[in-house]
Amino acid sequence: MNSDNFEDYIAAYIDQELSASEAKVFEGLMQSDQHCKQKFDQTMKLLKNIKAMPKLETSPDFSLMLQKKIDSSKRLEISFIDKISNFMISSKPTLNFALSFGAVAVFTFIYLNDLSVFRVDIDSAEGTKKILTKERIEIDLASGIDDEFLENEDKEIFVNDIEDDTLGKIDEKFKINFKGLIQDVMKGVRNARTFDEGN
Amino acid sequence: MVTDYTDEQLILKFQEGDVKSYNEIVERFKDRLLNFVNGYMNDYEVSQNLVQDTFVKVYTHGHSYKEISKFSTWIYTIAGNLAKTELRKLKRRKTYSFSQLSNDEREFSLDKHSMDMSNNSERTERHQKYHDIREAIPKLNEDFRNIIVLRDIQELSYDEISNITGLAIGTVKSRINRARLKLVEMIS
Repeated sequence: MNSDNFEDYIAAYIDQELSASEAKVFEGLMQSDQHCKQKFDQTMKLLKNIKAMPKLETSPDFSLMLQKKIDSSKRLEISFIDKISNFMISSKPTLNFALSFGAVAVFTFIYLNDLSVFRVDIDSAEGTKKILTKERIEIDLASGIDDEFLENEDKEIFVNDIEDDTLGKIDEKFKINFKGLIQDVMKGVRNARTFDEGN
Repeated sequence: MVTDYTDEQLILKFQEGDVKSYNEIVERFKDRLLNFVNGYMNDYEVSQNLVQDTFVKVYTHGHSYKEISKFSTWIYTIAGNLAKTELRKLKRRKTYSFSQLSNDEREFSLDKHSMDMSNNSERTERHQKYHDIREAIPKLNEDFRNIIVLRDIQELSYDEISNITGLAIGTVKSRINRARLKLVEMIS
């Protein structure tokens, strides 16, 4: 502690937070340095004046006014919908027309641009279910398919995984008659061979 | 008796719906908060309004008080924040300066200004000092003002001041000296 940092210890001295040795140094500085003494005296005088300042008191109608404020804040707690409906009812017809026109314009824009802002996200709504937009079934004819395989196969193959909004029936089994399809293709190939051999 | 309860017990009772506890809180804190807020505003009417707003907030947001801090810390923080917001608003409105007032308005303004302090000629030296202190405190920078108001006017502990201002206790202690000397400089 010295003359330069003396002021940092004034509050601690007043609050009696300095140790005995620090307090002695502090008092010594006040005696030896007039500037330190002046700072301490000014601080003490200020504190004395602040303490002596008359305390303000709330007016007699404080509680009444407070009650009124609380009541008005309760009234303000009306629902958001009430606020909107009150606004719509109390506002001018021109404003209502403008708001309605704006709403129609927004919906038309969304509809014309096919913006799916209101579409329920099926993926998120149904969890793990996914929409399969493309299902490619490749039939390898290069190595040939024998008649025995075709006869042992079921006449109908059920494809359960194809789910498409465009089909209209998402969860129904979609049937494809592969046997008829393959037989038609094989018949075409045989006819082509017979034609080639004949030539 | 609600008067026997601590501040923290009262707010908990109020959270359970006891309106008598709320009224007791108002009684306990209204004058303390008025002096606290007036340290920022130096305007009785504005300060009283802000204190009422503080109690409205306690009424409407009483459920948000958690017993992790002292109730006094919580309510002083609310009042302090409202006062700071009001001060910012007033600063923005300062474009309408005194020089723009008409003569009648000037007279009214001067009358209002001296109303609290009674007649100028009858004013004693002591009252002048109080007046000077009240005038000077709101002009201190925010850090110094907060600490002077909380420590010297409200007589709160350093620990409570630290909680309200969010400053470390060491910082509060070092600032209080500089704040007091700055205030001395302003009023002398």
